[in-house]
Amino acid sequence: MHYETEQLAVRQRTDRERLIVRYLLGEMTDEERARVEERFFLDPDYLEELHALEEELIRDYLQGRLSDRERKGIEVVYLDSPHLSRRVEFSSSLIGHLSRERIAPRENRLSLWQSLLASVRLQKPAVRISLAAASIILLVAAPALLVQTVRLSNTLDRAQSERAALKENEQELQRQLDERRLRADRLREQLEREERERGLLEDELVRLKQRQSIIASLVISGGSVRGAGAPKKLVIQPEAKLVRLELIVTSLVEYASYAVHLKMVGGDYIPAQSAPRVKRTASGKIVILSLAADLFATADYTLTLAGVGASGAKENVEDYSFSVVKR
Amino acid sequence: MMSSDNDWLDPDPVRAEEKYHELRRALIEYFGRRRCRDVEDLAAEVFSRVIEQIRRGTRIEKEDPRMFAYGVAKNVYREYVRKNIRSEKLLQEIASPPIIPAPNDLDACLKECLESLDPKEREMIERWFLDADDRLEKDLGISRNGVRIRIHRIKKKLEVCYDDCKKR
Repeated sequence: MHYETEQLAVRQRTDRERLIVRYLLGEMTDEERARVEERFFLDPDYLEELHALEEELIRDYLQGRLSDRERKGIEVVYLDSPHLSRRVEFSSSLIGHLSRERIAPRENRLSLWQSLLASVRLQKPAVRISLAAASIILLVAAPALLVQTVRLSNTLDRAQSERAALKENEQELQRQLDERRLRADRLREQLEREERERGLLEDELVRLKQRQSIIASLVISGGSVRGAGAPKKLVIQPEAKLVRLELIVTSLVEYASYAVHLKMVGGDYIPAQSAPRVKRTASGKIVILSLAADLFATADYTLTLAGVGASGAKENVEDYSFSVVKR
Repeated sequence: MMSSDNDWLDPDPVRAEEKYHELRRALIEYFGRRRCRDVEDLAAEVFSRVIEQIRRGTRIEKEDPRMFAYGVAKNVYREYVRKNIRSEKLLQEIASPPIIPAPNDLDACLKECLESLDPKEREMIERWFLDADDRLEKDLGISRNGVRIRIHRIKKKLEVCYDDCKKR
């Protein structure tokens, strides 16, 4: 059976009821109170009526139906009396229990907290004893729940902090990894570039070596024919294609061009295949002569450098001598 | 209390027993309303003194014995105040928080006692305490005061049951 709880105004009391209420709330003079006491000592029905009205007063107090004056009267008289306060406590427990029992079947899984709220709702003006049933639950459960909640909250905070720290650490590691990857990419590119350059250099070196191997060079000073020392030796390797002779010219006379006359000692004259080039340096002039390596054999050679004047007339400048060794 | 001790209340032992309980309730109301502790002990003290006076030969037939007891109760209260005014103050000063039984125990006793009620009584209790149901008067065909008294009697039963349960 279900009855909606409704806020009913306290109904008009009869004079008899008002008198009893004044007694119950301690609003009487000593004489008035003595008259009521005499009456209930003599008349048990009157005492029962008094207690029944007291029951209603306490119920209305617990349900917040009393006026401020009556509510304060209850709190002064009942809550300060060890004996009378038990009556309020019992009614409070009873209402709390009945409330929970009524709510429980409606919602099979009604929580303790909801029950407590239902109880409190019925008893809003009661500050202390009126909340006994709910307070008991709170007194027993709240500290443990609070401690548990705080612990869980701390654990959660710690977990979140650790998670944030891990996340931050992970981000830092990722950043370092990205940085290292970038650096490795740059190093790889640099290495590739250097390898390419090295390859080019090696190619160039090969070319130079090949060039060196195909050119046999000799630098000769003038007067070698007359000199006391052994003539300079030019070694021509089998792969050599060209002989490059650099003739150091000590004469300061300027000529329009130069001509050479090369001859194997005791042998044939070797004709120049191209006009000699002149390279001027800070210390003088060098005449460079390029000849095919095939023209030479292992032998001693003499070379005469002649200057050609503007008129075309030739004039011997210097003589050079050298030995050739063909491999 | 032995029935012979209640003769001063009524010659009929059964009626004397009823009057004893009625008077005891009045005494408890009297002392309880005056914020006394151990009101049952004070009520017992009144009975003890009345009987003692009767044994000493004090004649109370001309007066209603209940009013005689009321007079004795006033004396007992005065003595209580004199004796306890200091200790009451001290008790208030050093009063420790009440020991509240575990809610499960309270609930178990209340549940047991409510289940012991007649279903109609249980319904009345629920309607009256939770709904402040005015229709009870109409449904039961009695006055508002009549409803209150019925409720009060049912609640008294519950309290007796509850006290017994708690003692177990």
